[in-house]
Amino acid sequence: MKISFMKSLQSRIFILFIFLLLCVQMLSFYSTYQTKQKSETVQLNNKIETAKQVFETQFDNRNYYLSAFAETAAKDYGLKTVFSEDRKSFLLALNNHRKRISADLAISIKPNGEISGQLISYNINNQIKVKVGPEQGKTFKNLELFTQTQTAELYYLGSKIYQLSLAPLKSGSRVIGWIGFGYIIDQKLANELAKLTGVNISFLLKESESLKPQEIINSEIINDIKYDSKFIHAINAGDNENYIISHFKLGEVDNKSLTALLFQSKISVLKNIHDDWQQYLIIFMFEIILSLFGAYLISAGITRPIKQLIHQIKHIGQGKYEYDITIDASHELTQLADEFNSMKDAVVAREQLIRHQAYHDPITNLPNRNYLVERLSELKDKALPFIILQINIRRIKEINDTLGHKVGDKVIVEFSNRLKAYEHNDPLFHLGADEFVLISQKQDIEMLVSQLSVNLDPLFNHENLNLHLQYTIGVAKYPEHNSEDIVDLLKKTDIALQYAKKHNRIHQTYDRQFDFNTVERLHLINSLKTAIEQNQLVLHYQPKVSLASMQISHVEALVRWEHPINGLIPPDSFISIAEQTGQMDALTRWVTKEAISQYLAWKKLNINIKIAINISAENLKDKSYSDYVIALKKENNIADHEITLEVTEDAVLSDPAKATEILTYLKFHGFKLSIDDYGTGYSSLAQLKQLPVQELKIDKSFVQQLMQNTDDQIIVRSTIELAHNMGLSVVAEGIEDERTLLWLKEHNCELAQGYFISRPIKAELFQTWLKDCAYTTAKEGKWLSL
Amino acid sequence: MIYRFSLISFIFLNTQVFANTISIKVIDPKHSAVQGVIAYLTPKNKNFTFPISRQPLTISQNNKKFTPYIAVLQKGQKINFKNQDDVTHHIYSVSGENRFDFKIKAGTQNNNTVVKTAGEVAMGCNIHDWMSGYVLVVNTPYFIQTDSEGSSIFEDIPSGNYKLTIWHPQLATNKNEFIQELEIQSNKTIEIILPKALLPIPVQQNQDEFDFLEGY
Repeated sequence: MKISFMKSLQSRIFILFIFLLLCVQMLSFYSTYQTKQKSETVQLNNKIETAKQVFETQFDNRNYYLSAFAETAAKDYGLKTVFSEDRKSFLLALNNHRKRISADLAISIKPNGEISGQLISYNINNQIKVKVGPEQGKTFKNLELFTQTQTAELYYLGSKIYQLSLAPLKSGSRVIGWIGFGYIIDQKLANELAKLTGVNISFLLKESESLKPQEIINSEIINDIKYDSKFIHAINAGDNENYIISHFKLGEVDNKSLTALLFQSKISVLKNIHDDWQQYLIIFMFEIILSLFGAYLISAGITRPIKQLIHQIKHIGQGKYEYDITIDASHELTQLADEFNSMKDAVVAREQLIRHQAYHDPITNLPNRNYLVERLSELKDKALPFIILQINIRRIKEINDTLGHKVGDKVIVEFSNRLKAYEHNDPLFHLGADEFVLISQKQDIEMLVSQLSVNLDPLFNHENLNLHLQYTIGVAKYPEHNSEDIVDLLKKTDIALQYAKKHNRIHQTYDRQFDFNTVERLHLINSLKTAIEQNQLVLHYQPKVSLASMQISHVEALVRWEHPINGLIPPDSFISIAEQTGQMDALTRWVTKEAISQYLAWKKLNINIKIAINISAENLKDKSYSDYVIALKKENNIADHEITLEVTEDAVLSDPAKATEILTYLKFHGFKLSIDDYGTGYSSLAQLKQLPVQELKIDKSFVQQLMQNTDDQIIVRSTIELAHNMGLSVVAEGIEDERTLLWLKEHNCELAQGYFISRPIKAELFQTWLKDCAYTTAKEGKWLSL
Repeated sequence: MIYRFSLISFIFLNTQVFANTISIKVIDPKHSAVQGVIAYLTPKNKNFTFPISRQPLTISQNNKKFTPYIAVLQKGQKINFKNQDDVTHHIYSVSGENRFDFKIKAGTQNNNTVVKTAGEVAMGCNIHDWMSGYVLVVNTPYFIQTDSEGSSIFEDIPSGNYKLTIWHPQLATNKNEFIQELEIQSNKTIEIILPKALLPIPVQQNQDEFDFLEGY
């Protein structure tokens, strides 16, 4: 089953989940990103702020340290006492103090501003030495600034900048002088502070007005980068956005301002955040993949029971009802599965009902034709011989018409019950209405039928009305009568049944010959016309013996069909077709024409023999055939009574008046008329009397067993007498032995016809037969004269 | 009080020759009376000789304060330091010509200090940093200190030309002095207007939070 991707429930759930998860993820990502951006800013600000604070603290600490120490040192009594003593003693004492805090500068000033002592430390060969400063004895500039504040101020000395703090030397509350200590601001300091703050530190000395620093003291190598002054100028001006910077004004010295520049590259500050961010991105990608996978699992999990359902329902759709639908899923889907199960049960029940209805007759509840068809297929597979009987209740239609369908149905049910009573393991089917079928493994048909007849009591009582049930059975055998389709067996039983009905028999076993009347009939209907045109028809001639002279004086022309495929088709088969399809006239005309031309041919050969032609009811409807045959007779100058036209009783009976008129017309024109198959019809003597015929032809059914059947002898004898009394001559047909022939001769029958004399044979054969006189009886009878 | 007595006795000695009484009132530029300033008269006549007072000047250390805060004495006069506290003091003066230092135990006296040079003696205690006291050494017997009205009186001043010097350690002038020429022929009342108000006088009190020390 192919479903477009978007229509699949699983896909939809999958996409929905993906969408939701991605939304959440993106939201989370966005907020994380924002947080990261914020934290970057915060980090940058923090970094520089912290650095600034650390720097400030450090710088102030130095200030405080210097101030506090100067204050403490100024209170030293020893120093006080030597302040006014000799200079050398004082400088030594001052240096002692200087050494205690490793100050780079120590100074003492008289109240009048004169620098009474100045000591500067310097580094030589990694040894710290102290020397007297150049300003000793000179006036201290800017004394007021230093004495007003307690903190250290910047002091410029010998192109070096110091932080310097002065404290008063007092005698009581009287200030008797100043001492001070200072630290140099140099690269070493920058480096130390850089180490502490974690940012680069530059001390910039510049004219207050100018932007460009004149002198730069820069910390060395943090981040493995050595910054040149040009670069620092740019950073100081805030031109480089990749750096965070902060300025810290340290103070003024000699009209120049000293500023500390704190700077650091953003990348190095944010390194941790960037590392974290990369880690987060990896986790984020991993989460996305997990989300996709999770969404797939969820969607598959939800749709799995549905797929199970579909799979199992498909099974049911294919008719596999044995298994219940079971799924392991949520309450709702389990409920759905249960509903499907109960639906399935209902379907099964309904299907069984429908199946029963489809396979059983509603009246008798016996298996019907569908069932039979299936059963036949099964039997075919078993390949065992069996016989199939089609049983037909006769005259149901009459019962229906007279007593109503209710009674008809009752009769059918009763009949089926009686059939059921017989049934011994032999399946019984009701094909509908009055048709039943019985399949039996027994091979003896006669016995089977007689057993059936015992069960099928012909009496049926309905409201004190006794109905006589009659039935007909058509029988077919398997595999004898099997054709390609086993269902054709039913056709064959039907054919046999129709045959039995036609011939008033209780049962009839199928014979291939019957088929001709039915199956191939349609084919013949179409090909008869062609047969006439293409001379597939031939005439056979059966001789008639004049019993008085024992001479062959007559022949009857009998039509035969030499079918190119079916072979010789008996006249019974195709004459009825011709009758029903309105081709009878054409057929008779052909026969007539052919017979007359044969008659003429024989006449030329000096074979003088009268000829009889069968005509049908069709030819008696109007004068067209009469005119045709009269015209032929005149045309060929055929003498009167040379041609006999044989017509059956039935043909006359359909319209006796017209028939009489036509027959009279024909008689008038010199045709001998004969009643064919006399005794089988129902013609009354009154009718017979009116017919302008000269001859009766006693049906062969009275003649064939004449010698064995005395009744037949009575009939034939009285018929001959009757005919003679009415002035008619008599022809007997169906003579199959000499005794019959002689009996008929004895009883003054005029003409005899039958196999004993000759079968109907072709004209050429007839000539030979006539010449050879191979016929022993004829020889013995000495009736043949040529 | 001792000072007062010595002054009176000095005046009595010269009473029959010199009989001028000079009243002075010291005010600041805002006309507020200035209390506690030292005023002394130095005769213009160089040959003028004075008798030296044998009476020592007593400066007490009381409640860890120099009392009085400011004292004046004549050159050559003795100072008697009197420790009235229950702690030891280490009195010193490290500036000027009159430098000295010594420890004085609780309740004892030290009267060995003789000031030989005129000028300011700024005193402190090496143990109690906040203690501060001044002694002005003058080369004249005519010196007074103003009262709470800013007034004081020179008595028995011989007639003649004098230099009137006003001195106070918190007078923010050169050498903490304010000098006026003065001719004395008769009794006089002089109002002296200082060019500046006095700076606040340092409080002789422990500035630290060692409150517990106060009780020992």
